[in-house]
Amino acid sequence: MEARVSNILNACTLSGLGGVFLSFYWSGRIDQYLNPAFRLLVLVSGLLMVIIGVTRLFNYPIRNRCADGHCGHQHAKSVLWSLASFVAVCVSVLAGSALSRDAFDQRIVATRGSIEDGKSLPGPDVPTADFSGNASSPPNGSAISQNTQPSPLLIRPSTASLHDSANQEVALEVTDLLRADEAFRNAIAGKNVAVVGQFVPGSTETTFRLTRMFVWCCAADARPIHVTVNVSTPIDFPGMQWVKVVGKPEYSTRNGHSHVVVKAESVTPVKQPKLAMLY
Amino acid sequence: MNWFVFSWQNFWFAFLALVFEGVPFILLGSLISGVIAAFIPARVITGVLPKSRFAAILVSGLLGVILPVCDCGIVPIVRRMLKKGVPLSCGVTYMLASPIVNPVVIFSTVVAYQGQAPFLNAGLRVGFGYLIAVIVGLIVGTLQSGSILRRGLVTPSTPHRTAIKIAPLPDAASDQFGVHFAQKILDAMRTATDDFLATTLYFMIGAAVAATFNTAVNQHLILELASHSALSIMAMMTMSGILTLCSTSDAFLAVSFATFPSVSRMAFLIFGPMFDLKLIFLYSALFKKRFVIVLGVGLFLLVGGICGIVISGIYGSQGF
Repeated sequence: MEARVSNILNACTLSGLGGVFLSFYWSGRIDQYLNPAFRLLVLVSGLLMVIIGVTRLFNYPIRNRCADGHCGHQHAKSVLWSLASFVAVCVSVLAGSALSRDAFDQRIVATRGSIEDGKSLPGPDVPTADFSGNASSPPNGSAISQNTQPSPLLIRPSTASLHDSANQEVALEVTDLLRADEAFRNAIAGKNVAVVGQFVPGSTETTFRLTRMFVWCCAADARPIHVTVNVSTPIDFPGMQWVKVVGKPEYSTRNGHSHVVVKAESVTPVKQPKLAMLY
Repeated sequence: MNWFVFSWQNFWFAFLALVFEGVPFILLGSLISGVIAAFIPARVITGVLPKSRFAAILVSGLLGVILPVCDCGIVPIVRRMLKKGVPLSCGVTYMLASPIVNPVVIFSTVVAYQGQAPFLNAGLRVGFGYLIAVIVGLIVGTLQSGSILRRGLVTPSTPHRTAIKIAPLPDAASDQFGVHFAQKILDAMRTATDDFLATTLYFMIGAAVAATFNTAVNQHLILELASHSALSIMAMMTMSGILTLCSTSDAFLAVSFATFPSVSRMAFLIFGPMFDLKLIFLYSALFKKRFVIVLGVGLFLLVGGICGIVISGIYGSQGF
């Protein structure tokens, strides 16, 4: 009897965990958690866990031992262990899925620091092919996203959706500004750029950090990256509020490290973009 | 400056991210374990390894090339291998080496270090990761398995079997039951799910602890040690222990710590896949707590020592 109850609990644990995986995948919430290279694994493992869990529920084993003859699995024989597994595995993940806001709050910037040197980011610099020797032609966000070849494990979201052709702003990501090489800087010199990021207060009332989270593998390793924004009049938004900054970037070098400041003409609150993380 | 700033929002976000990243690999490892249990006789497994104990450990360190499994998925496989009669020393060597000595990790390390001597860095990581796993395997080989493994986890048919001696076990898979293919499939699935649940229980605890430290510890305090060569090695190993990264992509993050010397970033890449906060709990599914602690401290000293003396010398000779 105890083994039968354990089996039911174990089946529920597997199915429940698999169900959470599938719901995150189908709802798109998984996009905030994992590098695209790992997302398909969530779908496949979720399906497998549900299938195996249901199969196990209706296929109660007669033998209480493993395939190779001796079983050391305590939860296969003990209701207490099965219950512990159910709570630790299934309930904790269900609680997490209900309580998680799919984003970090501002305290993560305090504990992890923030990167503002493009050399610290993986992947290639912004390509120069379109702009070298042709600095007078305005670059656009589409060209950047089409010509940047990310490494296989690092896929960046397209910047094309940010491009505002009516105002002739160059729609860029924070990563584009940080990685910009000399030719690209020349190409956007004097032009307005539009960048979306999260508001983190700066050292003065007229500066703030336009911040994005850069993910290498999963959100647990995400690090804040930012460009500094100067505004003419003090502004105040809640920490991590999504804003769109339109302004002119100015580059300088300090102690051998590149530094970019955007002189903002406008800062407006916007909705969180579909892909909140950068890869 | 507070060294610990906890936030539930950050905790849940990081916890779920670790779960989504790690659980698929534990499931994969458990499925492999189930297949091994049901379909591969013990004599085949033990037959793969050379009879010489030293050669067996050397070969075990290279098994990741043909059976590449990351640190999350390795525990159920090692447990199954031990049940099939693989010596504990070989199991530990494979467990430590596989998250580094495998094609996916080698490829990602080369890609991450593009423009920064990629083949030298990948070679150092794989070469010294392998060497350290073999050294630990040889040390474990001098110990009794009963002092290392959790009680009742592996029921040795030959009680006199030590951690290093290769003794054949009865071929339970083919002799006792599961002779029909369909039955073997069911046996494999059931064993796999039992392995999965047993391992995932510990993984969840590890993920919760890792998510707490990962998000709450002020990393500035660690990163400020970059300028001191010896401390920077220890700082980066501590950082890898806290961050609990997947070895398939940790090289990209290591490269981003541009202010740290190359040797400390290499320590990060070698130590992290072998031991971190999450692995403390995963290893506890297999080993006694005392061994897990000794393993962690030993690896910290061994990796730190080798990086500080040998790898820093190699980097110095190459002009890094």
